[in-house]
Amino acid sequence: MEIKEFHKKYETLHERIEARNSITKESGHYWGIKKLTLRDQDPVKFDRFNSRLVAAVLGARETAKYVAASPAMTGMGELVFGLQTREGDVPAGSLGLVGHNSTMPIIVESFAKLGYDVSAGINEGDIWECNDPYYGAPHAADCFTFVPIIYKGQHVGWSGGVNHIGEVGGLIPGAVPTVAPNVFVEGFDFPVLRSGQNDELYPWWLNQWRRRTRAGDSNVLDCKMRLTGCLMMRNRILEVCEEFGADYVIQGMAEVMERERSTMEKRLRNWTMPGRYSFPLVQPVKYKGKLGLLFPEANKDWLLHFPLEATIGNGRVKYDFNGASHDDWHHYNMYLGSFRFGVNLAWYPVFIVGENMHTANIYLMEFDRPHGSVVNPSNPFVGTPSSAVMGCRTGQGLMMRVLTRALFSKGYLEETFAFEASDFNIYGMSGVFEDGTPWGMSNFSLVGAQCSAARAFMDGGISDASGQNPETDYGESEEWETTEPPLLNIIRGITKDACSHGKYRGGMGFTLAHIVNQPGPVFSANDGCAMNAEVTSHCCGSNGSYPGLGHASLFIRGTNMAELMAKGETPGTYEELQDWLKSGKLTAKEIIHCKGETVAHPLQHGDIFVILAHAPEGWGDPLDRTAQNIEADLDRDLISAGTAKKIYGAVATQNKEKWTVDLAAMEKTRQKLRKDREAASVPASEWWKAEREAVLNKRFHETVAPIYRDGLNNEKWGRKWRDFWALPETYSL
Amino acid sequence: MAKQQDGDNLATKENLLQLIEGTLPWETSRGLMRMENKDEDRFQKYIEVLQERASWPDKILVRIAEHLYVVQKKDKSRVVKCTCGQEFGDYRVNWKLSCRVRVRKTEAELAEVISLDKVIPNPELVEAREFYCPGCLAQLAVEVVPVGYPVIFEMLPDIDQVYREQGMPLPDQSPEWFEDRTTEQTRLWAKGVK
Amino acid sequence: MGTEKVKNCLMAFDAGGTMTDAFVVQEDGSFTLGKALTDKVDQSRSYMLSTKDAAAAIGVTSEDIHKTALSINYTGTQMLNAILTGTGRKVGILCSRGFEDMAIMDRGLTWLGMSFQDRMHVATHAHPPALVARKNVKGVCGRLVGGSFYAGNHLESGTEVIPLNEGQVRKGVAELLDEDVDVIGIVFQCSYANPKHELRAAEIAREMVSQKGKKTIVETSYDISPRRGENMRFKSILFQGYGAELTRESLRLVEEAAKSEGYRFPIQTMLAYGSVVNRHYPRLYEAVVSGPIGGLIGAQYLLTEKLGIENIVAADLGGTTWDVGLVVRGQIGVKSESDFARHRINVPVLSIDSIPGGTGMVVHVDTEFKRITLGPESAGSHVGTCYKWPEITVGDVDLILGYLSEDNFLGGKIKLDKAKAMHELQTKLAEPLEQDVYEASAGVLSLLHSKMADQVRDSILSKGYYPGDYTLICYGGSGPMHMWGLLEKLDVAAACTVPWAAAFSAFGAACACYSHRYSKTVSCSYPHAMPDEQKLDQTKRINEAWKELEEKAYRDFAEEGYSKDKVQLNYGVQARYIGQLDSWLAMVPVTRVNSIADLKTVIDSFEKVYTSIYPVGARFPEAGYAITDVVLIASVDQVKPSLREHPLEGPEPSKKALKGQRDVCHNGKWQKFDIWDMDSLRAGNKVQGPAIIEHPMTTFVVPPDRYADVDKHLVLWYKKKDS
Repeated sequence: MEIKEFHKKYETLHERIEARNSITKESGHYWGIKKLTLRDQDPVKFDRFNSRLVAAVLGARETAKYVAASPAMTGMGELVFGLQTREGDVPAGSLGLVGHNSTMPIIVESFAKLGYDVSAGINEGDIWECNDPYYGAPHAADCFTFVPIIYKGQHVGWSGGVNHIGEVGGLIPGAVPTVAPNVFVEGFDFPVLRSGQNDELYPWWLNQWRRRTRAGDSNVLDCKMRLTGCLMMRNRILEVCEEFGADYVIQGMAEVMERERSTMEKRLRNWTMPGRYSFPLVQPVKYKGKLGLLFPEANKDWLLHFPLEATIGNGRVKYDFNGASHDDWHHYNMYLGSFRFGVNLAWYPVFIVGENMHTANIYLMEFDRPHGSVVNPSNPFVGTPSSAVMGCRTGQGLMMRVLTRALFSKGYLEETFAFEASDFNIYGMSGVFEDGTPWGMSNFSLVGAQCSAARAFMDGGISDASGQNPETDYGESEEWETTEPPLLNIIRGITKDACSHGKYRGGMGFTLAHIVNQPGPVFSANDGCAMNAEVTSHCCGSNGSYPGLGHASLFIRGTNMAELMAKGETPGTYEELQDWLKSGKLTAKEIIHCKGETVAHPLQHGDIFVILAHAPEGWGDPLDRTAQNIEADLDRDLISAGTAKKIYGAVATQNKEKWTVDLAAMEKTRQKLRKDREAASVPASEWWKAEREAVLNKRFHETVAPIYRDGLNNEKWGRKWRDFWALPETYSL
Repeated sequence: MAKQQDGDNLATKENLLQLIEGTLPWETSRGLMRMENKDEDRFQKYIEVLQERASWPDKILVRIAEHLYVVQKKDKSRVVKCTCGQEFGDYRVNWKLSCRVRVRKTEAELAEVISLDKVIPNPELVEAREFYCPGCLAQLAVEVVPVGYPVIFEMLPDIDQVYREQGMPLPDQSPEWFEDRTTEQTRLWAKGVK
Repeated sequence: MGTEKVKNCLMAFDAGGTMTDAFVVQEDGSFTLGKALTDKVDQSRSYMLSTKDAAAAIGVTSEDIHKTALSINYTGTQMLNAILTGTGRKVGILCSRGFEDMAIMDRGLTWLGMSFQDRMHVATHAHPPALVARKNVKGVCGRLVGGSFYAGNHLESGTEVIPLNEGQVRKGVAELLDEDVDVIGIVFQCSYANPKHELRAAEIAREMVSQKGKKTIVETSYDISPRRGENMRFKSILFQGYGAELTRESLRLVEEAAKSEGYRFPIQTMLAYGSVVNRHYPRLYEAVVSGPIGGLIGAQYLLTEKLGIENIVAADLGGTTWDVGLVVRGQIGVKSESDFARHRINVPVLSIDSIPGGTGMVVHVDTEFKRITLGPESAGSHVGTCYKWPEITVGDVDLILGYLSEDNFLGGKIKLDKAKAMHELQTKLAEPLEQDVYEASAGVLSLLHSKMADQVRDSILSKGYYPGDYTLICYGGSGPMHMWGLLEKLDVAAACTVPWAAAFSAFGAACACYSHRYSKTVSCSYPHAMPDEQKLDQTKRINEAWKELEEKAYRDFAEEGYSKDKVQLNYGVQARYIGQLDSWLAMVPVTRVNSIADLKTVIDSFEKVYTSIYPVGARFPEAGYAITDVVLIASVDQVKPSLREHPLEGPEPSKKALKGQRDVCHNGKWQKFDIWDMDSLRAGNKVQGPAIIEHPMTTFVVPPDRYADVDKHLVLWYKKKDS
């Protein structure tokens, strides 16, 4: 049956969406399309049609982005446009925030569930927007605009655009408030609403941005930018309708969806090892003592549990999160949008063929997200700012590692590439200048380009990957500085010895350091990074390497930096900063060492704010690393001679800049290190007994215990846990 | 758009061997990545190359980690085997339970393996478990998890399915080959059986 | 007597990686081509050979030409090649302490110049080979601030907050001199706002160089490109140090050769933004690319200046790329930053959009999904399986369909193997698609033509304009051959090509203005709340910057041998709404901003530009305005080709122009096409389709429903027959 028939058959948008879901599930093909009629009738015409769609979305992004306000847009391209079918699927999306395409269908679905196609209608020139995670947005910072494409009275599809705004007006300033127990303090959330008509935004809507966020003008420009792109794309698609006819466009978009779905299914079968993969992560969240009096229910710390068990087989993937922590009063609760957004990100690098960034992959996937858990909250009011972060870290970060193993095992080693899906390194700041002007801003630069994990055949890379955007770019420091006057960027470089070691080393983490310069009476900064160094980036390393290193920051207060500056002296690396502190050349009244997200710390002239970015995992046993690779690292000053000896057992000597490893000596040291391993280890059975005692006696840290309490409440994971430790059925926490 | 040209002559067994050994030049590796439709017989070639470089005769079914393979023994049993020849028993039981284990529980112990002091995990929340091969003492896996966390069974391959899809179904196919049997081991331990 | 024949001619050279084209325009507007293999060691040799080749064709000697030639324009790809092949000069850098790793972190731009597919496929990304060894990048303390868009609320742009650490400068320079670097580049944070530290460091460095009796060149990023963006300034200074000096040297050799034969003026070369300069121009790295630029200049000269056509889309279809550029209301757009050899630098470049295209492009067939895809690889001058390439290409398709003659490639110098092409297309294209080979081939062209049409449409629409208002000029070796297909899928106001389509870039180079473009960041903000006196106070920065650029311009031109009175100046600003990050160039009718009224004039110019690109809804005057950079374009007069006007003859071409007929499978239908000799056509002639007009360098296809109309400048207009 042709798509347009379905549209006759099912009246409301919601009915059609339900029909699409059931028909696609039952038949295994998008809308049950088993044969690509238009494509087969005239493959070349079909390709031409498709390239027109792609050109339309790309053109929209390339032109519209310059209207925007934050460096994140123009410099780093933190926006995306997608052409949508009437039911919201995206057959063609632009580059940029590629993951966000996958939230567009969910928001259109919300629009349908709310019955707005009936109550408000789908009218030419209407403008709709939404950033409410409850209705499909990854988090409030990701604002979504969509306008209907109506050709000669017929609804053909939607033209949608998303971008990440700089300030959302939450309790904590910035784009991603890192303390937000509930929706009422997480910023300006707005459910699906009509923000304009006749291609014009309502004036009262623009005023909302001015009153409800700290960077009103900047947000207004972003809003206009999204609209500009949507309208440009819509007009291009109307031309395509003119050329091909609306029926061809509607059917054609559906065939593109099915083509991409089946292409991806084929790749999945051919390239991955079928099997069951387990890859959990734990995420610390620290609220204790932060707002206890205000929100007693949130006066605690968490170690959130995200136990991904993925099953790949028969061209399908199942994500199973049984055992995940329960939803609660923190900012990590994930509704569907944030999760699917991350999922999409995991697949585009290897599993998208051709020029279409699409959402067809969703039809190859099955999700088991226990209701009431942090990955599927039952409470509609829990906080969500970092749900997008978690979407990246679970849907993308964990799945990328699973895929890496599946590709490795199948022999496609060249594709074993993983990186940290959004360390989400965004620091926020706010203050009042000397002249009394209040201001607030957040800085994204570290998200733009991060180091990557080691592959099955080579070391990890430097500034060559970014969780949310294939076109990595951390922008120009001089550009960023114009948005944060009191911060003087003094270090933007690699952190020596900051890597996960292995046969192949993970990418080097880097340092971003600022001196606070004449901030005025009030200034504070907070580090918003989710990669908390109280744990490692994931629970598993890779093939014998350690898991990725977390992220830390230092707030160095009451320093003598002012005198040093006057003498023309600032530290040039983290290493040097440490030396100066040790030697007393740099003095400080207080050094606050934080791991992961921090509250805002008040800072004054001469204080130093240091960020040590994370470093993803290596690959294999460090003792398998070749002398050449160790020498190369030493020559480039990436690791210290001490590390070379301690970790790799390499005895190296330097002559001018060139280092040489003594092979014989290395072999001996490695023998000894292996002996040490033997001495320090016990057979698993013995270890199991001891650890079991701890479990039986419930010797768990108060922050850890809830993981098992929640786990036991989940039948599947609870069973697994009881069985592993052979616990009595009476055992409970 | 398509990169057939780069691909055609690149996915050779020689190149595959170098890729496995980590000696393939970047541009060639990149050529492999850029193949639009990768060689569909890659799995067979991969297994052949691995078999040729293995120091023991057992038939490799799949490679599950840098040093670990699932091999088929003469008696048709499928066991995990290390490059060094050490065997870890039935692949359906998490092979980590046949390793030697070292646990790092203090900041000092962790500092020995993490070379940046400011990012050492908090021992109150997690411990680091290193799994060594009892034979060659290679470090096969590392877990950083809370006390009491079940040992992670990273990968249970569906061996029958992959061989079916490759058009060389295994004679002894059975749904039982795709079952997690780890708890059988722990149950025995609980009974005090070593 | 030979001299008479070529009196006052203009010469333009395009020295490519393989061939050097010489293009000699005689006083009467007639032109002659010469070719020679590019001599990588000493370009003056290939320069001479190609000149002699052209001279011979005219029937004179190269001396005859050189003695009276009025201008010689020499452009090449040498700098780019040096960067691509890592054969540039040894550079050392002094940068702000803490930023040394710029050399390896590279702003994270690992994907520049990659295909759409590879850009999505992150695993394939990699940093380009470094142009400087990390160990030769030395950090120096000291800092000035660049100002912020909280104008007036915090430190003024250019304020010093950390003094320059001269000790570290001396240490760094000493180490670099020990390393025997050829060039020392100095790039400090925010120097665009205040050059003080860079200039002082350069002073120290030059002292030390002369003390050591070395020849090391010292350059500052402020002189090279005083604009915001440390990574781009870093790359710009590397390009200058690494590549530009090589180009300067070749130009010197070429100039000597020309002068040895009596040429009287300096040799000129073309900059990426389309103006020409001579070898003494300081920022010679701006000549990094010029190939496609020339054509756009030529189109503007020919159609705008000579024929008065305001809106032009200039499209160049060569063997490997399809380059599309626009002339809007007589002006060519300029991008303020651009990517070369996978590096991003902030040199202004004429905005040209390029995609893989052309007759060399390889045709791929995805058997599984019946997808035809084209390129990006190209057979280039190897054409396809019909000549010297293992894979089927668009060229093979053109050949078997009959558009391309097996006997007329490069005027018959190369014979193409039609049978082979046929066989290859049969097995690699037709069979997988389960289609007839001619049907499938037609499909390939249709896809190519849609891509070309989409690119043209995008270039026009994405800037907010309407294709119907634009006149297309199509050139390049294979442009005229595929024009018909492009225009089946694209409606433009009018379309044309020229007999010298194959050498149009070289022609364009001869048409370029002698001018320089200067810009400087000023960061002035004008929120509505700001009192007028404070606005005007800031505005001083604009006037100072313009003054400074004027002086720089006069200085440069003096060095290049032009006195002040010869130099004309045009003023402009880069402006935006407060909060925006990108800014738009607007030329302004004032030379100083002395009053609120002047300021309004400047802002109105910006609004005009902005609304010509974006829908009115994208305006945001409520936010106030920011002027980020000032721009100054300084130029002097330059002789250009005078297009000869030919007397119009009758519509009937003379019979001797008709070479015969050929069977062509056009859109799946076999029919006879007349074959005409382009050189024998006269002004006023009309060639009725179906026809193919052949020239040794190019082939012009005129389908049944169209005809070609030769105007008085021998421009061939492509028109619909009225049915």
